[in-house]
Amino acid sequence: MKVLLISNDAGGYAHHVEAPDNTTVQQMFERHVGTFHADSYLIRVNRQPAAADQPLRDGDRVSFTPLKIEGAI
Amino acid sequence: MKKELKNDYRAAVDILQALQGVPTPKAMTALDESFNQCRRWRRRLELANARNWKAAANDSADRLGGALDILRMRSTHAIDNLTRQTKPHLEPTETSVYRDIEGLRGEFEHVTIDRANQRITVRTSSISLEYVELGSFEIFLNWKFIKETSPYDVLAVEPNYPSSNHSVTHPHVQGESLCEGEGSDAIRRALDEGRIYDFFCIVDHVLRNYNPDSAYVQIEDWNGVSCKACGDNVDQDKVVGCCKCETELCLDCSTSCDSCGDRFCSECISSCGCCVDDVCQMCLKSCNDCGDSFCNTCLFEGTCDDCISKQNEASEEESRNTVQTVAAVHAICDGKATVPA
Ligand SMILES: [Zn+2]
Ligand SMILES: [Zn+2]
Ligand SMILES: [Zn+2]
Ligand SMILES: [Zn+2]
Ligand SMILES: [Zn+2]
Repeated sequence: MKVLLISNDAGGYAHHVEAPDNTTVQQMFERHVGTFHADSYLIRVNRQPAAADQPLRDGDRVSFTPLKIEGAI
Repeated sequence: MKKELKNDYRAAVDILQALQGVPTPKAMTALDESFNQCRRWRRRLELANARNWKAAANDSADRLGGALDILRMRSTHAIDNLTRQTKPHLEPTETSVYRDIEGLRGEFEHVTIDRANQRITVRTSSISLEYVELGSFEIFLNWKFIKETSPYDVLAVEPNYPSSNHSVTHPHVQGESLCEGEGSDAIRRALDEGRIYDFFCIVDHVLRNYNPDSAYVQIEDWNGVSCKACGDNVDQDKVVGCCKCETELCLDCSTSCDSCGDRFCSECISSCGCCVDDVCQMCLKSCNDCGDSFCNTCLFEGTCDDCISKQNEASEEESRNTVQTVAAVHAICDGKATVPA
């Protein structure tokens, strides 16, 4: 299946990625972005709240927005 | 409801149009800002160390560490950006932008679209940082300028200004602009790719975080200022600025010059070499004779008491010698004294 994976961490990342069926939200993040802490991110699947263990489906849009993003001057 | 959907869809079409023609090359201004921050805190640290201000030195060291950390992070982003520019963009479509608007309506309570002014506005829920209530903020995205550097404004709905600065509504918002810090690259990328849902979520999160290392006004200074010498919090109207170096101090940590009455920090105040009064460097004058520093009242025609007494002693000695010589001469002339053979 193909999923749109978005990480709004650091430089921002948005790519279509291939993944085996039933890959979960967390597995997707770990495979493509890095170490994952469920309580550090706003997780959305198709712009709806989702749990880390939710399996993804073909065509889903999964996004991770860090809760801690510090502003500056 | 149907009307709203239609309006949202039309807005999505407009936004997509505004997006055509992206990208513009990305400036590295964030890196320059970081360099300046590091320099600034390094200077403060050196100054605080030189003056032996422990609280200020610790504070500056912490902030320098933070600024260096941001510099390191921004450098990483800059490298990422250079490599990413060559990779293909995620292309937005009418549907993806429309779904983003729908998503925003689910995520935030207040989302308004003003097609005439090409503006989409999202209101955050109330934000408080370290127990200071800053209230809700409205994020206005002017999609006409979506390709430009800062196509959005951030306004406090009911501003809680810090006592020291009424153009600041949040430690990272001055006027109507947000200093994005860590969020800047992700924000730019979300806008470039037409991911306006992500854009608003990121800005919302930046507003919910506080970076003490780089704030227009420190949140602990929101209702006052911290004394740079002892670290105590002081009300804005009770802060004393050193008249020489402008360091902000509490009343106890500043000293008034006994001559001119202005207040100074411990480094900028001196004392008279005679009466030991606290006197500022402007009011101290040096003695014409010994060169030491004295207050105005301890100098007489440019000379200090000590030097005047020394001069007096010297002239008395001289006149005593003169008197003795004259007396001796007179005695000889009068024949009262025998002239030594
Ligand atoms: Zn003090
Ligand atoms: Zn001073
Ligand atoms: Zn003075
Ligand atoms: Zn004196
Ligand atoms: Zn003298």
